[in-house]
Amino acid sequence: MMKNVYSVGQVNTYIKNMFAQDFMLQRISVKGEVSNCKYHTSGHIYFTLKDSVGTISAVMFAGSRRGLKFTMKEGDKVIVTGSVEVYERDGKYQLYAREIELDGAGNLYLKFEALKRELEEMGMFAPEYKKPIPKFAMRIGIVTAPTGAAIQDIRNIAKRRNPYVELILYPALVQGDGAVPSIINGIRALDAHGVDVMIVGRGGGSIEDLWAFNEEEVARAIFECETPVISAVGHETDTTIADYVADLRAPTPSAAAELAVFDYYLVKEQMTSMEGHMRRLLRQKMEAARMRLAHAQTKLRYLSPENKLRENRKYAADLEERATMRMTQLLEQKRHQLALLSGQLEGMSPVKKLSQGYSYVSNENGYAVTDALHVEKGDILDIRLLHGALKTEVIEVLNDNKQ
Amino acid sequence: MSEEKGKKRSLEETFAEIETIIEQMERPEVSLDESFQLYQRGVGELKACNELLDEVEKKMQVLAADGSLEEM
Repeated sequence: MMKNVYSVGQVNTYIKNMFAQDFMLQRISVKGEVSNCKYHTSGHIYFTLKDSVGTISAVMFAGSRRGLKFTMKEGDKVIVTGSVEVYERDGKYQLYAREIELDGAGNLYLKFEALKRELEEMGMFAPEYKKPIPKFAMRIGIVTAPTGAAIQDIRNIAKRRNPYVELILYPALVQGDGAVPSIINGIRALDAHGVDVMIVGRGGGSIEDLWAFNEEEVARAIFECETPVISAVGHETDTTIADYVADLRAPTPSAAAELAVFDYYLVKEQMTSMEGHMRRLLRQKMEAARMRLAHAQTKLRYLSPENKLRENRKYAADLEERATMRMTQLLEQKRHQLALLSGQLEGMSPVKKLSQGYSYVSNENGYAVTDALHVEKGDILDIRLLHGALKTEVIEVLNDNKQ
Repeated sequence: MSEEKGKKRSLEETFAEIETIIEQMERPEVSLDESFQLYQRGVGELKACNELLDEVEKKMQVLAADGSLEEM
């Protein structure tokens, strides 16, 4: 009897087809613990899923990486969803993962969401519990690791903004076992010691690194702290329960330092400007008062009796001047008139007539003789010439009408 | 006045006081005499601010679990 002999390839292909035809293996969710997890440079992730009974090889190809929302590491309890297929070359079957989720209690995200909801319902995030952050804190408490980047960042920024504020560090464990009690002790110790504001936080890390800040006990310590607390955990994108319960959330430790430490130089500038403002206001006031004084002085001078007197005196002087001028004018006029009249008078002078051969005839009584009717023969008449005079006797009277 | 008793006023309170003084000085009806007094008070408050700023460079301190402080 001839035995049927198959090649390795034929067998593997046969088995591969058997798997491929199995409906259940095409879409299956498997839970287990991650081990031998390797992130390959190609983007593929190779790992083994195991439980107390056995193991199965698994791979997540780079193309399916969207199905993984966290950084998977050794020991993670996960639920892998994908297909079980045969890899012909090695003659092995493995789990091809399309989606990987953290399983139940190990799922930090679910834990976070549950605690967040619980605390929120208790009112621990309520804005009315938020204490205001003092604008000018002089003593600043810090709960963080003494060796991390966070404390260096805070220190540098504090030194740059205001080297005169007091920084008091409580060196705390911020990750791993013991981080939670250490952080809580730090918050309580600084609260008891007395600071104006407190920064609680750490630098960036994985969700597991930051996990202490998602613990309820830490949240409660922050909530109960009398001193205003600024949370500063990880990077901008990391939000922890501590951030929700803190009085103020800073995206990073550096930002927390900016919020807690006031800018000394800016405050000094403000003070200078305030002083300048006050001085300007005072000067304005003084100038206004001086102006009012000058105004009052002018008014007073205007209304004073001395001024009245001076005005009257001036008025009198004016009048005198006008009168004098008028007099002089009048006098001049009269003098002119006189000259005119004397000229006219001269023209009518009898002496002038005598010089032309005319004579002035008067009778013995001294009256001028102008009519022959008043003269009789034998009357003595005086005839006045230009030079000298004649005493004459009338020989005959000739009357105009008789001729 | 009340400065002696009770705790020292904070920088914030002192600043608020200066703001109030400036506001009063800005009022047109305030007399010159009052202005002088306000200015004097304002300068006094600024001096207090300067004192509160306490311009002595501070070393970072470390608070130990037993409550003792130590320079870092």
